[in-house]
Amino acid sequence: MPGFWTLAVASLINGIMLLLSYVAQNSFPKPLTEEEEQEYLERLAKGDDNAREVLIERNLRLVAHIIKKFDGSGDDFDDLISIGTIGLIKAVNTFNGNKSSRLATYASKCIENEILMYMRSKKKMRSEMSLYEPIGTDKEGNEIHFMDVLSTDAETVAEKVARILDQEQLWRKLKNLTPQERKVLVLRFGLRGKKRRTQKEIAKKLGISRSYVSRIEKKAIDRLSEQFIAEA
Amino acid sequence: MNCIFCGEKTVADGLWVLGSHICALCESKIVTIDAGDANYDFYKSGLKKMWRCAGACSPSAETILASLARR
Repeated sequence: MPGFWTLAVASLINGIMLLLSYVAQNSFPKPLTEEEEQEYLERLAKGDDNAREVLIERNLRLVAHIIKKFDGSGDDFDDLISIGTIGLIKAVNTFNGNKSSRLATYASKCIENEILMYMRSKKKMRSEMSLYEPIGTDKEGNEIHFMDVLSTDAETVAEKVARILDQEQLWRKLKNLTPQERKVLVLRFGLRGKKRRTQKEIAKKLGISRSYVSRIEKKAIDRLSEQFIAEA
Repeated sequence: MNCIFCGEKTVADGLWVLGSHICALCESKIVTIDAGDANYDFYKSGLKKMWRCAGACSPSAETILASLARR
């Protein structure tokens, strides 16, 4: 096992070193002069694929320059340089000489934008979790995934059952009320899946005054409360 | 040489950057890919490969460290 870690660390250091070599040694292909850039852009417009390669390679120094801005962001150097390169390839493929004066100016914005978009996306992803995300192992060493520990909240089910039982009990007690009192309470509280109504709506439906509905409601609730208290 | 992303041998089309080949299809995908795309890491890793291949032709680690120390 220590051999594996030594190899992994050595590989990582080697990778960083190889990338750093470009920055440290200034061994990037030299940037194009304004005239050269113009010439290659004209060749690219005529469909010269080689011109595109030159425009990308000779602007790679720009990627290294821009990622220096993000030093200390906590992001991997390898990642940033690759993301910057994606931004550069996008820039060369979408550059429009009529809108921007120089490719380097446009590419700088594309590279920086690509890195910022990546960081934003990573931040967003941090708050999300896959259902298949391994969260540990059980006693037998089997991997447990997030979805394995997800279940319906037991309390919610218990509460739902309790509410149904309460409704059943209430329904039984409603039978001791007068038909009018029962009707008012059913409409007023939307019992048995009915829509809840205002006192005014009930008054209109039953052809009585709103104040009378209010009195019936109060009397019915009092009688129901008495029944519950007596039972308790 | 094969494409550093998909491994396809389509040298006629696409790009050559730092000695690595990117086929036309992969290049078109890079141009349109969004940072939130599920395949983004695939292309990011492919470009790391390109930089590493290019770096293999560079001076040794000792030379790099010495150069960094001078800065």
